[in-house]
Amino acid sequence: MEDFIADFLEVRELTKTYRRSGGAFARESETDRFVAVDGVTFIVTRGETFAIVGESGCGKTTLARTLLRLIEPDSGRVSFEGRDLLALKPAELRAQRRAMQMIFQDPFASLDPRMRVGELVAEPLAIHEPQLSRSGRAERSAAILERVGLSGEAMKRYPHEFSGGQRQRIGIARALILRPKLIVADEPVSALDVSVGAQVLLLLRELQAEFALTYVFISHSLPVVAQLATRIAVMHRGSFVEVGEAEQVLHQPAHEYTRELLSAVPAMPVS
Amino acid sequence: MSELLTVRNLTVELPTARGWIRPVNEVSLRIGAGESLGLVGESGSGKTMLALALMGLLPAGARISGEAILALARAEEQNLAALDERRWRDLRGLDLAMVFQEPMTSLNPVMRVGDQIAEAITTHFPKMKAVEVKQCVLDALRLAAVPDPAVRSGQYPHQLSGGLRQRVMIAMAIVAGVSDPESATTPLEHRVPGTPLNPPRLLIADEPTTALDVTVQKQILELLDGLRRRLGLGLLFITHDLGVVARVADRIVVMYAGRIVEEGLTKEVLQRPGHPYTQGLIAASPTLERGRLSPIPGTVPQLTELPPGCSFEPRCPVRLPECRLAVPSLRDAGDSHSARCILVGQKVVVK
Repeated sequence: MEDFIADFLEVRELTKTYRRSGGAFARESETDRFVAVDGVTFIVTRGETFAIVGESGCGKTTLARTLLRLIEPDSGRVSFEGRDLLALKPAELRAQRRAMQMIFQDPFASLDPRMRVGELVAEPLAIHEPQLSRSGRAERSAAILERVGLSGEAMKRYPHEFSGGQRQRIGIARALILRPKLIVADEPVSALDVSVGAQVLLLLRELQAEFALTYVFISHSLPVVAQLATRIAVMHRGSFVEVGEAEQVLHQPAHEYTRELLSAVPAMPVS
Repeated sequence: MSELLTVRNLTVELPTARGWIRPVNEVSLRIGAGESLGLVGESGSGKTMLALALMGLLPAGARISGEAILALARAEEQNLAALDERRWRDLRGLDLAMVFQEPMTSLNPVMRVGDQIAEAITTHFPKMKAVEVKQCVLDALRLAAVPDPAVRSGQYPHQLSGGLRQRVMIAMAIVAGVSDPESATTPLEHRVPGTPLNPPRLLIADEPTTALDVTVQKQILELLDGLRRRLGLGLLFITHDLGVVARVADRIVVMYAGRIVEEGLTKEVLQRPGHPYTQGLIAASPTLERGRLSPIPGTVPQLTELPPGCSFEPRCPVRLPECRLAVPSLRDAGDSHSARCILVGQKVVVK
């Protein structure tokens, strides 16, 4: 299968609808349904950073989660290295998730507060590489924590003892330990201070080259996306209104909505 | 420009398990009537605690010293750092008001927004007739550019978008001032723009657009700027976002670990930052250009473990051994521009 020429990640007509809040006994009709992701189609090539930008409620987070089947789409197709993800059985999907990991916005909410950092980072190994010994797991955890900028001493501590930026590094270490091919990052720097957010963005850029990662990068912020994206999709009301090379979208936007978003970005006077 | 707020050596101390900390450390600043001051800082800088001190909303157990003189419309002055709670209730919402980051947490979810705004009036003017109160509520909603004020005032917070909720909060913040029976003789529509109203004359906005989408943020920033000009409000705008501050503030104050580290005109500070922290913050702020990003190493120090000298010294790319000896004073870095760094004076000498 290695030389089979398939697109790395191919998404076709992906759709996810939700029921509008009408209560459990509300009568359902077509108008009660809210289309979060409306027939989205795109291709991500190996090694690129495909950014999805949009405002709150545009469907970007739902889209990110359906890619990994953390949310089941209603219809459409997601294929990863030629495999149809939506056709996988639960056990097959679990095995497949090794190659596809996620980084979340709020690192604290995504880390179990009762587990030590060493256990948190090693947990995916216990699931996906059960043959690995305890010391083997500890070794791998220490190595990956060090790579994301945390000392081995961090392993014995709990998440609450770390700052927001350090917690996001823990989240990245946890995502990376299985050596995934694809990382879906959902607003990874939105909750961080400016100076720390910049550290995390640069770390993600370094790790991409080092671990041959492909990113799907979700953000509300065009300036943040501009730092990493090779291509940018602008999402509005469940659909992509514009997809293109990052430079093109940022500097010669084709769609009116993209222009509106760009003009709303507060700019600093540069000397 | 007459001074509206003059803060001198304001210090706030809080008790923690590891001793007293100083989230606000000898802060001095001033805001003129109708002026917009941007207060910039990251988490732990003390910017929110400073705002809470100015609103008399410090957590229980906090100690406050120094002074914060607010020039009231009633031609008197009040030291906000030495008021009792009864006096605070007279001032808050009338002479000064605050808008917070997340409007949903400051609004009562089971009360119509019009009634909540009315409450801000009747607290200060209990004898005002119901029909007048209602008119003031609608006026305030109109001033905050809420479409269909009559419809919206009858709705509950959850029925409004984030941007509309923030407009409601802004309406609530200004309503008591614009409904002062003494000053409300001229209907708002006929008021000459730029004429200072009676209170509230100071509006503190703490990250009011951080939770909003950029397109909505732009509208709220325009609204606040318009209200400032139209009502002659002094605005203390707190943010971590240098792009936002560039859009709203006449002057900037940069805080780090409880102290002001730089102060000056917005354009001057952003184009010729004197403090290495300000320089670092600008370099770390993403722009639409790729590849410019340069983070500040390390993290903001814990207030319980501040270094003896300059608080930024451990992260500073141009630190000198003497930076560890004492906290530098604010030095002149240009025309009404100062920075708390020993290199600022030295550069001038070298030139």
